[in-house]
Amino acid sequence: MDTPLDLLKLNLDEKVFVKLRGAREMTGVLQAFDSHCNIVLSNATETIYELVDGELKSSTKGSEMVFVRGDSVTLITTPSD
Amino acid sequence: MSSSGESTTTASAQFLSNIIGQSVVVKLHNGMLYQGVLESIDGFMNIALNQATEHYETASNGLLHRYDGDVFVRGTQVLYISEA
Amino acid sequence: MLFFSFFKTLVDQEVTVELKNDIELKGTLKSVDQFLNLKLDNISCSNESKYPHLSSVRNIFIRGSTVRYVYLNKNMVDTNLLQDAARREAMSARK
Repeated sequence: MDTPLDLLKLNLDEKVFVKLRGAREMTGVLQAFDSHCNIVLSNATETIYELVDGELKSSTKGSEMVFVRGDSVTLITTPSD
Repeated sequence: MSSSGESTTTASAQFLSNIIGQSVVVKLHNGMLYQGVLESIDGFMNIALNQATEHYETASNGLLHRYDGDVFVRGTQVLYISEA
Repeated sequence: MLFFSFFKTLVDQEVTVELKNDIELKGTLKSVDQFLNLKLDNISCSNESKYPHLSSVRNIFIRGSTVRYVYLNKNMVDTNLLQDAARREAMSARK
């Protein structure tokens, strides 16, 4: 049986959607990962969700190449777009 | 997990191998609840789900997301995994 | 080991580190270890609102566990090499 991390290998060079702690999400092309879920994404967009005066607001930030430390990661999937 | 030729699996390892392919509920420490078909799991509780739905705390709360592809859930974030 | 090796290739490049407490710092990567602790030289402000007023500080040690992101330039990375290394990364060591 392939472990979940083996299955992640299939997503290399593909666009992935990553959920992170602190109401953050990232999409980008998966360049590398390890068993700690440390990740490198290219062409990444980070979305941060915040409550401002009781309203849900989101802000985005783009980066051409970013290392994401694994301990922030909760979930990785392929975007449905 | 068991090594070839020996029967040294623990109860928890047996549970994990028995639920592969079943519909399961995975709850994370942050309260997020995922329901889906268990595609794969490892000793660190890293999980791969098919056709996962996402709710907050209970499935009776509003559906937050339906994921078409595989969902990888990081083992350190898992509170529990249960047969659905 | 993969990301330890990866960061070693980035030594002497200018990177931007975002910490989990939202502090953002730009600096030259001088050192990295197996915990992905980082040493940055000649740090400067990359984002006014996220900079912690370290006007007299030039060089810093960052504990790896406090890092959220490290922002890089595309030209710092050979994506094909990196993807291949990730494919080879010993996932089987976890079985």
